[in-house]
Amino acid sequence: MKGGLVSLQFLNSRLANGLDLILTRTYFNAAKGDYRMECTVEFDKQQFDQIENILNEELIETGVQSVLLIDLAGNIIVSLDNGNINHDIYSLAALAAGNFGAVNAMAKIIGEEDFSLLFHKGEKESINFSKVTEDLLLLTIFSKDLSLGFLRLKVAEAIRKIQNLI
Amino acid sequence: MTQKKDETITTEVISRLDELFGDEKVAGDSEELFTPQGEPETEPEPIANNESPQPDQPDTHQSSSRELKPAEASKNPFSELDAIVLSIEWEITDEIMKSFIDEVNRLKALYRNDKLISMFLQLHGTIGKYISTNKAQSHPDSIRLLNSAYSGMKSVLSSPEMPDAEKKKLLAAEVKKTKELKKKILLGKSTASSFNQSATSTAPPTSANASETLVKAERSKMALEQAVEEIKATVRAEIASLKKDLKAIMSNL
Amino acid sequence: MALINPKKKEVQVKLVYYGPGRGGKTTNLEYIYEKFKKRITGKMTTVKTYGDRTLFFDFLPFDIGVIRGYNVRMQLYTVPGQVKYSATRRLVLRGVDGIVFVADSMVLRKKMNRLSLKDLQDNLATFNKSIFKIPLVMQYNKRDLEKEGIPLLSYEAMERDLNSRLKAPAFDASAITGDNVVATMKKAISLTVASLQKKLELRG
Repeated sequence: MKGGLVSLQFLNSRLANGLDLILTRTYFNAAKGDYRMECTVEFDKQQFDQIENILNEELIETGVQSVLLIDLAGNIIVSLDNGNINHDIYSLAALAAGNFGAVNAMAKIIGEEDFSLLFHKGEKESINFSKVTEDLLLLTIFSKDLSLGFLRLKVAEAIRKIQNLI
Repeated sequence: MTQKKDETITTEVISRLDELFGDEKVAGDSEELFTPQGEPETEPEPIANNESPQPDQPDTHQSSSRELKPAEASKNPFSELDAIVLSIEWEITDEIMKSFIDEVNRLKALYRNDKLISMFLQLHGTIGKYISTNKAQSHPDSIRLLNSAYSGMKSVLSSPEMPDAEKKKLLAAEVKKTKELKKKILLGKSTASSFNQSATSTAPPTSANASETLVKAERSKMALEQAVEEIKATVRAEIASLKKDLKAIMSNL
Repeated sequence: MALINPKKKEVQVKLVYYGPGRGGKTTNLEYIYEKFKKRITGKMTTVKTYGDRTLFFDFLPFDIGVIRGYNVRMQLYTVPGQVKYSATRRLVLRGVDGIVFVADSMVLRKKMNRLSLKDLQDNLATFNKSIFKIPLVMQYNKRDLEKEGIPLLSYEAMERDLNSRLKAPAFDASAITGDNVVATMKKAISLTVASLQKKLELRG
């Protein structure tokens, strides 16, 4: 089979197994003396769909306006909304990753491992950040109709379910 | 062969970029100096990648900063409850909800001779217990109701000159909202329940009067909720699968 | 780290423009955005100080279309160049797939170029990446200043100074006039994409 841009033997075999998403990281393989790419997160089709379902069920259906699952480099993995949203999600994801990274670095400077709450309150809409795994971040945009406390409960539940899948 | 593949990909990418950024002429090919070998400097020790993460949990060490002492004499007997309600806005944990319920009970004892405030507190207790039991599965309106009931109660407390009729009106409004919320919750459960019934082909429950249903629902709350969740998951999976089949069919047309 | 989505048949690739402060990184992106915004659908995002210097990063995303069945989405970033923003640069470098090093050709800035290159090497190392292995293109910017009589290092001098061991592709350029801005970007993208494929092959 002709290799596609990224659909080489490795990827072809993964596709055959129904793999849906690959996050990669380059690492130095000392044994081989070169740089290789490893997959830090792999979702198969079923997991991908399940993640979307979880986010829909726990968050969108509860009244959250918009949900973005992104990686820490600023790439979007899942984007869901209630149909009324028209944000520039690409810029949002890039900025969110940068913001989260910056705040995380600040935490380390003051001797904290992490901050348990990163939340920006707006007049009408607010944004909450939550870490899902080492590489994944969940961004929720919600209106003042929803309390932060309740949202955090729902987010924690969604994250718990997603972590069980991975 | 690998090099040939590289060259083909590179050619394809470059021609795509030429199309996209077409009217820019490429400068005379600058030296292709890049070769992968070249004496590498002593590579620095691979630095261990980031520390293990702490996924966001509402159950953190950072709960309400106030220490709650029952029956603490203070100028404003509601100051503790004020603090707890504010912290619920930020975070809902077992600890906070327990503090909330304990404080409500303490105030009930304190205000046992004030019927109106007692009833307000009773409402708070009911809502608090519901949220405490159901947490993430709580109806979103329950938090709004808590805030609304609290706000109503505070209005009554802060306006001693308010006529009794008006105070009762405020209470009645909150009681009505509570009943409406209960109906919504029960409706959600009974819909799922009848779904369950048809799936397992047992007789649907006879709709007795509201309070009887309430008592029954409360008794089997946990089991029912579990069943609801399972059914929801099944239905969703089915719908998703159907959507996919449909998409596949459409794309083949 | 490139993000590959076999379901959507999409690859997201991160290219970072690095270099000393006031070297022309933002100008590169601004040129690309202004010139091609009718063709590329992404919006440019900038986070700047009041003095119009990059504070956090500039960001320009665009699709380069389908290649071998995959939609390739480029995400171009710049970093703030000032020395004090080292920690921020490290953040922006996270997940980088390819680099454009924008060096300032002015004689006065020779030292800053080297410091910035060393800074890049150190920051890449924190992510277990090597400056010798990552797809890299050098750009010797501000060549337009020559006709204004400002002393510039020659191309050869820049090569000796910055590129003698790296041996990366290098371009003379003028970001403000646009000279070689697109050529630099095209080279960087094609190197990065080819490198991704190579790495995946090794993995397979």
